[in-house]
Amino acid sequence: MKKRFCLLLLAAFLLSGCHGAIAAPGDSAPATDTAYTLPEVFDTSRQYEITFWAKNDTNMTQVNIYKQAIADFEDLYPNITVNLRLYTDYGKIYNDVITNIATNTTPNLCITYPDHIATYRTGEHTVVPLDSLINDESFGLGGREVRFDAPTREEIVPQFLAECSFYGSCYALPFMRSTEACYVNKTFVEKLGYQLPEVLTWDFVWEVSEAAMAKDASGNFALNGQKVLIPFLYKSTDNMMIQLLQQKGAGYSTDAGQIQIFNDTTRELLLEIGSHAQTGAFSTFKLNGYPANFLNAGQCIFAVDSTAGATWMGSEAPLVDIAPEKLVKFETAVLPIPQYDPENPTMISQGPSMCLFWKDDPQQVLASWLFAQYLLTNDVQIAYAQTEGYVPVTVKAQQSDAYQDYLSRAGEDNDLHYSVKLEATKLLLESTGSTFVTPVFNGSASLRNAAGQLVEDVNKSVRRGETLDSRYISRLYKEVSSLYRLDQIRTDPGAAPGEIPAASKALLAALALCWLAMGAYVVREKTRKSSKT
Amino acid sequence: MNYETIQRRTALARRIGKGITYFLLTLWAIAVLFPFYWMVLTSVKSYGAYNSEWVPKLYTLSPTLENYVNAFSAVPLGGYFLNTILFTLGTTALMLFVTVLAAFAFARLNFRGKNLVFTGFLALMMIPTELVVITNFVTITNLDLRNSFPGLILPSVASVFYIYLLKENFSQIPDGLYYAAKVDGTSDLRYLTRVMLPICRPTLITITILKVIECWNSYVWPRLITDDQAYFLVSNGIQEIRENGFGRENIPAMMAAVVVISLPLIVLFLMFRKKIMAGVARGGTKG
Repeated sequence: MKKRFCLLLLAAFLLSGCHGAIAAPGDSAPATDTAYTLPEVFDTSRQYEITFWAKNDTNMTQVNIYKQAIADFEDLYPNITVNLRLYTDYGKIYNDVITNIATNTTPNLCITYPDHIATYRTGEHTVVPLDSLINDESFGLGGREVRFDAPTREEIVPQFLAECSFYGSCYALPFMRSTEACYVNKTFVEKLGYQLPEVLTWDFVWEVSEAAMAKDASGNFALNGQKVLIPFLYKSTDNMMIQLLQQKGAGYSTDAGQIQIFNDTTRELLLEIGSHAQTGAFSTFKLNGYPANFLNAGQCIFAVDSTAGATWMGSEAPLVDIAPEKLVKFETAVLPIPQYDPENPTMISQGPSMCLFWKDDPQQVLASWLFAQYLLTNDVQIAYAQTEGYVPVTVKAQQSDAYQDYLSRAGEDNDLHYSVKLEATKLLLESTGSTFVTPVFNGSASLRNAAGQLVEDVNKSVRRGETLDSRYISRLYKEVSSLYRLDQIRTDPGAAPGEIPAASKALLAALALCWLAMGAYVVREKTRKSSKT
Repeated sequence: MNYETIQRRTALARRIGKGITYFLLTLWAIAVLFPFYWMVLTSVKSYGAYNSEWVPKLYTLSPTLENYVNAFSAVPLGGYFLNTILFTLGTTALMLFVTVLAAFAFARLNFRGKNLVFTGFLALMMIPTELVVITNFVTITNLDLRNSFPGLILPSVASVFYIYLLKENFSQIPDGLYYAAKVDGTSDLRYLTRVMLPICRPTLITITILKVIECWNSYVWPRLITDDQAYFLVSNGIQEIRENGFGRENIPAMMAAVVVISLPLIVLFLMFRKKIMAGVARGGTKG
């Protein structure tokens, strides 16, 4: 009897070691999602509670704009309550959405990037494809049943809407757009004996940065008389690498997700960046701090950041992080990022978009869709764009009298009409045709992070006194590829996952043997005891 | 060589040895205490001054308490404190209840499969907490316990290590006491509360203190299952200050929050350090 019991127990232990092969989200993800069908009528007799995860720069004005938009929307639709949850980092929204996909507790609507949506989509029925929603006659963009003046499809800047389409469908609506700009201490450039061109080139920036490194007899930098000067600071190193490769016409990735970033052009670029980091002429936000802090303290000449960061740039900036006595007066110029071909500038297009998540109740999805449309109305678009160097995503808002008036009043004050902010805004408005986006696929967010990591690691290695050569770069490629699992990005989402690696097979076999051995020991001890008695 | 010379040399060697020991201990103390000094120093530097420093300064000539004000106004840190106290007290009380009864059962009672179950418990100690976090997350979500105190407390209630520790302590109580109590007609529960618990009070205090420290420092689980500010703990609060302060990391305010949050634990440790170290030594783990 005891023997039988022990054998049963052993069998139970063995079974507990086996786990059902739950399909990993990416294993059977369809290439295109099922089209979402909106209900024909919005049931106004029911109450709806929708959750909106929003990103802001902790500019309190932005927070208040969200809250005002929610209040105004709820006035129009009293049966819809919008719960706002704020984040200051896209990465955190991404992480939280990924965590909640597994438990089906995603928000109704969130601010996101197309790269992130590509990963969300690996789950079944996660992100709602918006094509049928956009074109719906009743509730689509500018539909007849919509209670506010929503833009039509044609009134959204086509390029911005196209950036949200991939895998054959539109998965997001653009919310705001920005690009990168170079904020220049023009006073310092002229003090060094240079004239600022209309479009910066990389050669010019490197040359001026190196020239600025000269020191006087007391060991201070001759240019600013201080002990600290980092002539060229870049905020977003992933954008830096992506734009460098784009300008050089070198590989980054294919649309299908084939990684092309580890090439000779990248190698040359990294070695060049490393050489300037070695002289101290270049550094990054992650290593030294926010570029605006250095620019405003007279410790930087070229500070590259988003046009949305214009509110912090310049000695008269409305938002300043450093002590007032540290501010230095200088003339700020806002220029496109450095180019290899100034005749044909290219720069990245970025900015928040909005996506909707599948819910069992189609009325809830409709309520979320209505709110998403409300965020595209002129009032919200113009108000939010005015907080920083963002640009409204609708032609309707861009060409409105209110927005044109706003643009025409640059320099009237150092707050709403701060000249640097408006110059940055106009830079994007005038360069929309020169912007580009990177391919979107499951893993593109990791690839973007890897691109930035290459630049960061080179800078860190310079500080550690490591030798930067071809062998170093080859080693760096392997480390970054492994860190971001770029070798595991599947170019064909429909394909089978592939064979389990030999090391994993060995580990699983060892685990099974351990369980068998433990079970056998238990049975043997029981048998021995019972035979003694 | 006479006795006095030997004595002098021995004394000298002892003094030199002591000097070297104290010198090394001083260096180590500086290395260990410096982060605390840096934490307090940063908490009294103004935000602008902190961001302006190229080379971090080891002193400040214009200390300010504004960061302490900011720490409590940027986020509802007072509310987070209250949540943490409730979470700590609730978890510790429940844990003690479960641990005492479980340890008593394993130490004193006889039931079928006792050794197998206890062996299974010990085997569970081999599984790192991180492995079960996702499973617990799914379970708590399916039970609709996210953003709730039960959701925060329940996964932390059962601690195999503390059950083992207390069980070993209970086992050391002589059987004679139990038989004598039984002869007097004492029930098991009465024997537990009147005899075993008073004898094992030092261990109980140790596991209580260790659990309080563990709950106070808890971050991963609360961060995972709460997204409603009403249920955030102080660990979330520090993270909120880090993200929401002035649009950038507000390190001075963060440090001020950390100073305030660390104070109760520091006081607790100073009051009960002997018991904590004894418990840690007994268990062989870091507190």
